[in-house]
Amino acid sequence: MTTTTCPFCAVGCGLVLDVAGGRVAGVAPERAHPVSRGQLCAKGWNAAQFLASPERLTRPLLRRNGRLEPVPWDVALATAAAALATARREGGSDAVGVVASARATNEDAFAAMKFARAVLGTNNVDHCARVCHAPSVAGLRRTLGSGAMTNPIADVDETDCLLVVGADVTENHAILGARILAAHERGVPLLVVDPRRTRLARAADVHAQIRLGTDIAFVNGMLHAIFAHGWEDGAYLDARCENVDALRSSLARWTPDEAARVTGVPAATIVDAARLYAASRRGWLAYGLGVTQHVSGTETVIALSNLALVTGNVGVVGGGVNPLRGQNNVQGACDMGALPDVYPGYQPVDDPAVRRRFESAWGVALPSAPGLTSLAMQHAAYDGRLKTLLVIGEDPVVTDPGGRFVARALGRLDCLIVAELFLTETAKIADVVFPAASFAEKDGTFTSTERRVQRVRRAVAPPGEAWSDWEMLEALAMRCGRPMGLRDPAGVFAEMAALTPIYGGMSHARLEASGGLCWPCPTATHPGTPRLHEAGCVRGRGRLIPVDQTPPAELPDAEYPLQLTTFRLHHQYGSGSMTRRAPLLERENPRGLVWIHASDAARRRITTGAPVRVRSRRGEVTTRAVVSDDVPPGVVAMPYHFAEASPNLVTNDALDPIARMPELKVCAVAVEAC
Amino acid sequence: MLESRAPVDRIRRVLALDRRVIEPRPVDGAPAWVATGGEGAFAWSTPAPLAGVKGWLVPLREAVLAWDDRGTMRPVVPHPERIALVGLRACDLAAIAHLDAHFGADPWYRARRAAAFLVGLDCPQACAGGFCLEVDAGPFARAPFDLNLTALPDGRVVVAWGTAAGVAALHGAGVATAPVDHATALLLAELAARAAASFPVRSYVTRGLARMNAAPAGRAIADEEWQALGPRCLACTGCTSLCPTCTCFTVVDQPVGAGGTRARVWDSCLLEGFQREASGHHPAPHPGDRVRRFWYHKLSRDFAGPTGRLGCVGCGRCDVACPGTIGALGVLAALGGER
Repeated sequence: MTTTTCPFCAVGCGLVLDVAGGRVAGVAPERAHPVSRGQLCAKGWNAAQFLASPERLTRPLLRRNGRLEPVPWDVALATAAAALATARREGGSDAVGVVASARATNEDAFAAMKFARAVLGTNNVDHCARVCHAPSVAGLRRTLGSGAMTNPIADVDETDCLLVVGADVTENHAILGARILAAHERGVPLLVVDPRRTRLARAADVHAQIRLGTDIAFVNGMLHAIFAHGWEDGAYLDARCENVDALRSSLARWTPDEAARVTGVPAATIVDAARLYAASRRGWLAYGLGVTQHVSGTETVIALSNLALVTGNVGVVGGGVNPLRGQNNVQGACDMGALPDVYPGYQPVDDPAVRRRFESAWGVALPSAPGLTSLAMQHAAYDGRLKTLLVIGEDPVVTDPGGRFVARALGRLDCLIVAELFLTETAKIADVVFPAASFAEKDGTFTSTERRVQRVRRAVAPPGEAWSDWEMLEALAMRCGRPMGLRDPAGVFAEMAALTPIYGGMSHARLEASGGLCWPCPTATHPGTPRLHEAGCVRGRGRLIPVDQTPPAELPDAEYPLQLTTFRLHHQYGSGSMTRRAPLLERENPRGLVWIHASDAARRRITTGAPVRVRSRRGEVTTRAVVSDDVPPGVVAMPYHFAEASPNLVTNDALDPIARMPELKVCAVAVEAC
Repeated sequence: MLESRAPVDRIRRVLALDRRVIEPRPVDGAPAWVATGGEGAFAWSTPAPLAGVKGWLVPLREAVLAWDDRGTMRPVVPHPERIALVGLRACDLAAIAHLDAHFGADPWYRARRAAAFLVGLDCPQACAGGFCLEVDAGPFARAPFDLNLTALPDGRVVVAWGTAAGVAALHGAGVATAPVDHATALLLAELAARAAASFPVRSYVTRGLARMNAAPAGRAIADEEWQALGPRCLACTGCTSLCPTCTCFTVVDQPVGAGGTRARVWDSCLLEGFQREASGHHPAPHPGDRVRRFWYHKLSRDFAGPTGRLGCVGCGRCDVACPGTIGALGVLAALGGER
């Protein structure tokens, strides 16, 4: 019996692994867990299935004569170290890079960050937050001073109004989504802003079915109505915010009628939503990738922050601006500084005092300029500037935008090194593959979406010769001639905590209890901080920043008349490397993978199950259709878990200029029967 | 009858000589079934763990046949270790009666079941969320146990034996039992009455069960009621995983090289894929259809087990596990007009 933390989404549910004969024989929910309280979603219930798959990688692989062949660790490490050394000799330190994993532990992410900076001498380190919540980190740091979920999940039970924007919570964060449904059943008003008719949207008191990428117009319309009717929290604005007049005057053009014209939602609905949210004493605002994965992602986050501040909902019980992080440890991987511009705890790499502290702790000179993002690393690989890349537990060939560009770019590297559980699409094109230990095979911590740091515990031994990422990175560092001195997970955590004020009071010993601790937790006696900004915003005053509607980078036209958006299914996770090895989850896949409205389907003679081709300027994908009123006319939607029909063959890689987030949520496509 | 609780610990230690003794113990703040080796005192008051004992009798994943590179197939016969499950509550024993009837001569089930020694423990009062009384599954145990224990308030223990193996275990441990005298029989009856009286009055359970079992069979409740519950089912499989009487499995082939194994894996009828046909046709296309079928199987007399008892044993686990609040009591509340 090993109590641990679920490896799927970022809700951070408590999981008990039942071990028999050296294998995980069963999974049960942790009854006493403060968040999940004895519940799991379908992914959690199936968490044991992928562990013992015969497809697990059990030995290092090396490409020889075009084929990946098993080799001893020594050979794989020596090859990887030599490739890194050659690249650095020929192209300088910035000719190499590391993509860390949002699925591995904090200890693994810290090791990846330290390996990039202290061993390779580059700030080229990033991870998949780039394609999920980089705009949240950027936006909320500007307005509030901290880029994380402000309020705990438990505040769903303490609020008077629930506002969900661009998030399919019952499918992607099921245990949280169910809690929202239960609160709604108790009578708490539920407002949903989403182009798709999600389960929550169908249950909601108000469903604002906005046009894709018009979130800012909708929020500005709400703000206009709030100021026009005097529903703002004047005392809160006076005491705790700045830039109120600039925001108010910027809203002049966003009358409900104008917002209605842009969003396609009736003006009366916009005013209703504003009244329900603003007139409630406390409003819990949550949002997902529908907000962030746009060229205007950071500005949309800022707009939502404006909305929460104007109504006095930041720093109060039952309120907040709550980005729902996607992966089990994407919050932690950000916290660990697996980002090109910050050390652990969001300490900027270009701050000389910060850099000196890390230089003296590690005894090496560290680079001062921010590094490349994961997508910029792909472009640098394509241009020949980046020569060797280490990718840990990510599958960018499936999950990143821009058609077949990702595979082509990675194919141009001198050496691609991948650490993985399975031979993913990205691992298939690697030159060196390290077999990795899964969550059930190592000790460490995950940080959930509500900044809750929880223990992950080893239940069984890794298969074959698989290692934890931090072990692999330490071995590779030794081969590179610069050992990092990482000895065990508790020691890695202790080193990190000593350098990271928000984790400063935590240790593996303190995290033993169920539920762990929420950061910031600066001292060994600090109880943790479930709710941010209670005594004023982290940055001082909450900053209101006027933002204006930016249309999507690509709009439909005669050639590509429909808009494509992407989403996730309850029974799958990410690129599916774990969930697709669970037989019940794999069987649950829908027959078709592109959702299309009946009116658009009829015009194209498409029925449910019919083969269709989805084309954009960047590529095309063939799959089957699901005719459904989940999507409005003019919009089609695809989940991105399936390499055989990946929407990322057609999605747009146009970037948010601030967070460098690609616009995965909207592009123009043509759909035809085939 | 035993004059004190001490002989029970002797029985556990003797069972541990040739069996793995598995008992409820608190683990990280909640009860769990733990291999204790019969060590320490018996945890008389530890509540039933959320995860039941089904996995010992029907593993989550169990190989049933294998083939090799010459195409030769052979059954994979289990050689289960001998176990003793000590402290089974009435609900879990009632569920094992269902499993026994359902699997019948299934060799994999028979092998595991024959290797398991069952010791029951009567509940002196209702547990939180349990409603075994309303579905005639408890709180005092009936077959199939090898031994069953009823703790009396004065420290004595009434021990009942249900099988020859149970009698042999008592003899093996050298435990002498006195016959239950008249006064003790009266006390037992009073304890049973007191236990029954401890259950909260839930008239919606009675009303809900009556509606489930009204004519015409399976169709007495309007479709709209089930379709209204449908969206609350997220198809998480929590209820079917924890339900001690759920027996559905699917078959998974796992090729390894030119050979491979076929395993059966717990399935869930709440999943869309459970009944989807190859053509794409689905006999239960809406979540509400699947919710109706599941509860029809649990709460209708049409699916009563061999003892005439319902497929639901009232353990309340589904109410804990269901994110959508449509576990058994949640559904009965809806059917019985409480929500």
